[in-house]
Amino acid sequence: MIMKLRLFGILMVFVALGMFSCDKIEPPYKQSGGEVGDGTTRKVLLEDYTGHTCVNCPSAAKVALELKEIYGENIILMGVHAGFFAMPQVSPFLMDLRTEAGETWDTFFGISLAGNPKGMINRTSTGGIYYYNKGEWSSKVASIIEDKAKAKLAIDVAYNNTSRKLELKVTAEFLKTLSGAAKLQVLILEDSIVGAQRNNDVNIGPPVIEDYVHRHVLRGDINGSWGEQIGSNSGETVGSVIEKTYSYDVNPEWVDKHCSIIAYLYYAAGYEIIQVEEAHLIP
Amino acid sequence: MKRIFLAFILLFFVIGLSAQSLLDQSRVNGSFQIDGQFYMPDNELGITDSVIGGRKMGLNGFGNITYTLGNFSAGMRYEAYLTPIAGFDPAQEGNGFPYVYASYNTENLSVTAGNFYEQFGNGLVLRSYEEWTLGYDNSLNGLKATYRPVKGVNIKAVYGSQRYYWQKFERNSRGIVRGADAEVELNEVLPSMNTSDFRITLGGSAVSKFQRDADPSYFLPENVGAFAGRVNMSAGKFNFMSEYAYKINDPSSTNNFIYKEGQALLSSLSYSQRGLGIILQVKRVDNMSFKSDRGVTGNALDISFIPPLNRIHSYSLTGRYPYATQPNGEMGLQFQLNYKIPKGSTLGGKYGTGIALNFSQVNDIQRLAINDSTAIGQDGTLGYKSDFFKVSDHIFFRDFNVEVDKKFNSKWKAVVQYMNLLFDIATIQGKSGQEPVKANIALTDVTWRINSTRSLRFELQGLWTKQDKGNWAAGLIEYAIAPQWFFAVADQYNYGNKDVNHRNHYFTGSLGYNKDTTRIALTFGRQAEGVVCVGGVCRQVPASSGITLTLSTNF
Repeated sequence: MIMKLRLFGILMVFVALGMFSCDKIEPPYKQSGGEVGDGTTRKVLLEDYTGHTCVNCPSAAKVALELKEIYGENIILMGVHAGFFAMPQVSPFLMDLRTEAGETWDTFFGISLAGNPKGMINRTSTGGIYYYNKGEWSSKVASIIEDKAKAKLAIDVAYNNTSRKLELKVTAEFLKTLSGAAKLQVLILEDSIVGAQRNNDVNIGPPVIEDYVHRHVLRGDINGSWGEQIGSNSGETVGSVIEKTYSYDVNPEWVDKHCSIIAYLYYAAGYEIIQVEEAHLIP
Repeated sequence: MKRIFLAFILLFFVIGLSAQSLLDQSRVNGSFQIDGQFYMPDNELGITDSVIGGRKMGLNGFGNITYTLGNFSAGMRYEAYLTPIAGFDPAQEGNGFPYVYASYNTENLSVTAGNFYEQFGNGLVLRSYEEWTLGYDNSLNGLKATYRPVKGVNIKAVYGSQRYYWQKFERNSRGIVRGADAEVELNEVLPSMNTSDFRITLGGSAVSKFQRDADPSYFLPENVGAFAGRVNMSAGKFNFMSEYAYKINDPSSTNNFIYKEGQALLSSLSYSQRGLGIILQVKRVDNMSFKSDRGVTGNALDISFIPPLNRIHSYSLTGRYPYATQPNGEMGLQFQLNYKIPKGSTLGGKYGTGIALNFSQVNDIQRLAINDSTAIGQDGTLGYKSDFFKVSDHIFFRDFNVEVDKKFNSKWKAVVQYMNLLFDIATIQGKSGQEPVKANIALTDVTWRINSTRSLRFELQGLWTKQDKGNWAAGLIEYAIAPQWFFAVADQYNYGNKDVNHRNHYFTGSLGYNKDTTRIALTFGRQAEGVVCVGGVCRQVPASSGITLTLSTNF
């Protein structure tokens, strides 16, 4: 009996000493920012799938903006309004920021069905799942933003603000040989659209924010929902340069000085984004 | 050559005998289930071909096999969600063997390798479990050992990673869980208490999660520990249980990355005698979401479990607004009284009358700013201060219900229930800005036993509210031919919807057949739309229309 109780005591000591180390963190709890990397690193596209009746979405948008503060131009944000929570509802949620491309991706990647907010980060996937919760965004971004770039993208914008005609030239320069066919996707965004938003973060505002500023909103695609293939089927080789030109009429209802173009290059198989770039209509 | 041939024959004979002996001692159990839904367009509910999006059918299925030979057992479960039925997380899509284990059990020692489920105490610091109907599974994949050094002392130790849909555990992908629990029944260990009426059991648990910090924004704890202590005492007709849990700083997506410690207290006092049962339960939860991945919200990777203190309603309208536990903070109580008015009394009649009275209420905890310059719940801070015994005025949920069941004679019996509900739809379902739902719900459930095998059951329910989707009525008629067949028709009618275009009927027709341990059920009709919010992520459960088939069997 005594032997067994001793054994029990030893086991408990082992449990106490060995297993339950705890990391008590003392202030400051947040790290300071500072840009990471330079122009040759892989930039990151954070697609924030959101909707105006999604109560948890403002706090996710805040996380995205905090990452923008840390990584500056190396991270590009895009708010994709899609799915149930983006549908127009009773007043004041009358605005419809959905797009054909956004709805297509939302259905294809099963995002709003899994719940909003969710984000895609360079469309990387884990176990076939492409989306991440807002709490995973920062570590996921950190894990790929340090990668060396396989390609460089440049966007030349020629915009006539009277005719609202947009001429674009996107140049892709391959810094490494790709492992498969690539596609180029070109999109247009409008920043700072004011409209109603449901919210449950008291640090952001009341439950219904009538004049919420929707940031980096996807407005439409310029070359289709899935873009177009560029280069060879087997993967472009290092050193090659490909140019693509596009014409586009900017919707007169959009505030052109808030609009920007996003271009990204992605693997046709697997959808992972190789490189992404952004340029404003009016610099 | 001949000798070798004879040796082979002898060897096969011995193996054959052993194999026969093994087969005789072996036992195999199993169960299978397939839930299928076939979707159809339904313009009235807004379900068009484009909404269905080509996914005309959802199929969830599993097969469970357990093999036992003496002290050894092994088992596996195959699952296939191809594609998952509506309302299940799309991340479920896939097929494979998510649950495989081998186990060796003796009187004092048990060891399991592979996947397993486990619960320490009430689950406040560790509970892994599976709930097929919710599509929930947070099983641990690792090793578990249980040891009983003396009678009345039980020690458990576990470590592993948790299931996250079909995503394989990889380095840095999610956390590792390690835990131990010890329970001592003093009446067994101390000879002086062996025969005492006063029984007491003490227990303690410790669980640690390890997840690397790769976050550029915060300094995050890589090892997060949670501890719990519990006591269970009984004397005569009284029983008292209490468990307290504490968790160190665990900034996560669920708590908006605050560094406050977590606490939970769960207590219950009950009294029971023939014909009477009374139970009073209280709980306080403060920042107790504990997941093996700090970035994951929603219905996955929970290490801890906060037990609900509410009646789980089984009728369609009383269950229309179910409460979801708020791990970030809540204080709740539940009182339940069950009384059987004795047979032969005026109110009891020939068979007695059952009365069940239940009240539960859950409020938010009180939160105060940590200083003048920090907002409550601000990320990267301690978040807030909270007095352990102070309750916020903010009511999340209140349910008062009374149920009377009465058997009138050998042919007729009835259940009558009334429920008064307060449901904070903004918090629980994420519909911020919407008024809390205040509803009165009443129902009657009458069964007419036609003969020894045939019976008819009628349900009539009403839900009256000025909030959310307004008033509902529901009815059901069920005809059963015991023990094999049942047929039912039912309707839920949202006649009080403020939008007249959405005053829809949700009708269903169903039939079922049972044969031994096999059950087949077929339902045709509509399912109403809803929103499910868990841990800060809301998911729309879409309205659907079509045919549902369930086939299950076990052996």
